[in-house]
Amino acid sequence: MSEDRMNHHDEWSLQEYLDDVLVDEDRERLALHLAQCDDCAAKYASLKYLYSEMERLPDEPLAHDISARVIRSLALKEDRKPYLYLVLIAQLATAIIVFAAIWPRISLELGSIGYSLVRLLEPLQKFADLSAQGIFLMREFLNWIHSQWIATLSMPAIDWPITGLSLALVVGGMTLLWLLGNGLMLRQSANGHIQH
Amino acid sequence: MENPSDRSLVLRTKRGELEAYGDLVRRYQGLVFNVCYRMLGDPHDAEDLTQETFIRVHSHLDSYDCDRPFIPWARRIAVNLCLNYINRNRRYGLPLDDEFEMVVSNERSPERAQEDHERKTSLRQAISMLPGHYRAVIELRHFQELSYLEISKTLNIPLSDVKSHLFRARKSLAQRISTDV
Repeated sequence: MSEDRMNHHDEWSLQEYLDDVLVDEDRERLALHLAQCDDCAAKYASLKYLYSEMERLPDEPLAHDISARVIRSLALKEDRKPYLYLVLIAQLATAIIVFAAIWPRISLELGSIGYSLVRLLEPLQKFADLSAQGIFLMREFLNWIHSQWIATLSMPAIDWPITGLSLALVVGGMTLLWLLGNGLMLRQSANGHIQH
Repeated sequence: MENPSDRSLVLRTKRGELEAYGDLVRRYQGLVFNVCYRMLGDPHDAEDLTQETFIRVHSHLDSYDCDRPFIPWARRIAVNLCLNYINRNRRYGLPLDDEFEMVVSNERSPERAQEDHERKTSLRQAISMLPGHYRAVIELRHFQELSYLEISKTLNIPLSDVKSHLFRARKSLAQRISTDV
C-alpha cells in the first residue's frame, strides 16, 4: 500500500481492512497506523460500529405463511399453460390471416411501393376478394334491415358512405390490435402474475 | 420423522410434486422475506416479493444444480428481483447520488435513538434510503457474506463497481448512523 493511501482520509483502506481483503503486509501496516493515529482510529471505530450493527440486525418474523399462495399461483400457472399456448397460437394464426387479407388492398392503395409484395401475396388475393364480397353482402344486409324496419319507424334514410375497402381496413386493423393486445395481456398473465 | 433434505425436496419438485415445493417455501420463506425486507424496507412489498421470488425460483429449478446449497441461490434471486423492483418503482428510487448524499446529511433521527429497537429501525431506514445497487451490495456482502467476486457475478456488474458501491454505501450508512446516536 502506498503512503498516500495510508493518509487520514483513506476510508477505502479501512473498509478493505474490515473486509479482510488486504494482503498481510498492508494489513499489518494499517493496524500499526491505527494504533498511532486518532483520526483514523475514530473512523475505523465508526465503520466497525456500522459492521457490528448490521451483523446484529435481527430477522423480522413473516406475518403470514405464504406457501399456500405460492403453490396456488404455480398450480394456476400450470393449468393455464396448455390453454394459453393454444390461444396464443390461434391468435397469431388469425392475425397473419387478417393481415394477409387486408395487405393487398393496402398495398394497392400505396401504389407501386407494395407492388412486389402484392405479387408475393397473390395466392391470398382470392381470400381478400372473398372478404370484400362478404363485406358487400353485409352492407346489403344492413341496407335491407334499414329498408324493412328502420323505414317503418319513420327514421331518415342513412347514406352509407363506407366503401368495402375502408371497412376492410378498419375491421382488419381493429382485429389486429385486439388480437395482439389480448395476446400480450395473456402472455403477461402467464408469466407469473402474483395471485393473492 | 426426520425432515427431508433440501436436495430431496428440490428433486421431488422437479418431478412435479408441488407439495414438496410447499415444504421448501415454508422452510425458507422467513429468510427470503428478510432479504426482501432489508432491501425494500416495507413489509407488505417484501411479502409480495418473497412470493414472487419463490415463483421465480420454481421456474428456474431446471437450471439449478442440486449439489449446491439451495437457500443462497434463492436469496440471490431475491436480491436481483428486489433490485429490479426498486429500479421499476419511483418511490424506491433516489436517482441521483448527490440527492442521496443531501438526504443523508440533512436527515435527523428521533432523539430516542439510544434505544436498541430504534437503532435497528434507524439502520433499516438508512439501508432502505440507499440507491438500489448500494442496497444490493450491502445485502450480499453483510447479510449473505459473499465475496466481492461473488457479488460481481450475482449482480452482473464489474468488480470495481462492487467495491465503489460498497464503499459509498457504507460511508453513507456510517454517516447516518453516527448522526442518529
